[in-house]
Amino acid sequence: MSPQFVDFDGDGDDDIVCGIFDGSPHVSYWDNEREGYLQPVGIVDKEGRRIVLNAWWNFDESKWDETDRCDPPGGAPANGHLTSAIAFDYDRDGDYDLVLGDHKGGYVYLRRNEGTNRAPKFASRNELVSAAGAPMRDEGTVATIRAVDWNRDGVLDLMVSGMGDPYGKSAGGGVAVYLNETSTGESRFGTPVQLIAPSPKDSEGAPARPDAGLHPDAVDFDGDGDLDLIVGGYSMWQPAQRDLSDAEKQRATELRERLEELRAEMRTLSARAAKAREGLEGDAAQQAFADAYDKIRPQMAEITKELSPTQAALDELEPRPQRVSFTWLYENLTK
Amino acid sequence: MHTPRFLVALACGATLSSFATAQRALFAAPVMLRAGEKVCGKGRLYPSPVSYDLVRDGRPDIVVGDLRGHITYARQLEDGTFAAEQKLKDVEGKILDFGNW
Repeated sequence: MSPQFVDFDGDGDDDIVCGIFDGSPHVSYWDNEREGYLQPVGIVDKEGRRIVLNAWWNFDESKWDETDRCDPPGGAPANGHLTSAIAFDYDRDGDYDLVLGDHKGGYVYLRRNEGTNRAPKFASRNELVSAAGAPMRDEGTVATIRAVDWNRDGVLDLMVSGMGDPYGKSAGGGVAVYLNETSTGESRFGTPVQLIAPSPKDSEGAPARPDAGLHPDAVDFDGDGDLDLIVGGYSMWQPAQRDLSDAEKQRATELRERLEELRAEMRTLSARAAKAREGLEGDAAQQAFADAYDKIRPQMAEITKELSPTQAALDELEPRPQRVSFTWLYENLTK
Repeated sequence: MHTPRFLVALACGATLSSFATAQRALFAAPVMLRAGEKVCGKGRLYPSPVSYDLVRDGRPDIVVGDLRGHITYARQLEDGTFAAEQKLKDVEGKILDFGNW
């Protein structure tokens, strides 16, 4: 969830716009009289319907749902899940349209505002945003989008960042900027310029950069006249492995074996609880599983109680790969 | 700048002319951004920072959203450092919560 501070309703104060994981954009309006933010509400289209790509959280039925009602004419290039959104006057008609980021397929979409900021009327369908004649897309799927005048020509460009492989060893996320090549009328974007290359995830010893789920903003952080980047994301690194004595190696082996025993016990218990719902359906199956799980809960707690310190002791000897989120500053050295 | 440098790379398909017009950027190796005694956004689910003068004192603060839908802000102090993060609340003093899924 990337907050964007923008006067979305045109009343003179900045509101907070963002896309969230439920698959739709939201806004927290600033209350001018009481001087504070109001709890967020969904941004809807001109028919009062939620603005989504394909995946959306169905609040009424408490489940994930799918729709193609918002697809561009001719269909979407891939099944999409909106998790980021910014207000952006794409066609320079004086009101904010919405640019939407797709966390699933990696595409960027436009939802045009056919009204005004004071009385928005968002279109019923998404449009694909293009760059240099092809759909704008981050292969690592979109983490977020920012509007920024990167080349200081007075025109807002689009900065798009990637999720990358969030847990595994495949390429991580990067940050690219798409320069806006027009200053009036419809925006037109050029080829992407990679500001931060997708991470190869090769950090050893200590975290060295954000590797996955990059969420940037561009700001002249040090006041030297160029735009720096502040970037949130997960760093993934392999801590240094020190040389172990023979006794420590033996201890590590014992700890690994004990961990395996504990995990096997957990699997056995879980399977026993799952077996309780065999032959049952619906609520009866769920209730049977819940009852069975209640019976094994004390044993599970005992195992967990031993599991954590055992793992910690092994980590001390043989550090596991780490994955922790931080915020980073990339200082622009151009000036 | 005392930190190592690296040159940003072109995305696949980008041309030399686009590279030139983009005002090629050179960044220092990244450093962690601190807020109070901690690294800003540390341990949050997908922290997303933005620079914004939230407290309206003329100094941009660091505002951080996350996957849970919560927002924190680290106020920029007079010396340019950032205070510890605190949660952004609504007009009634409740935590502003975008995480309604």
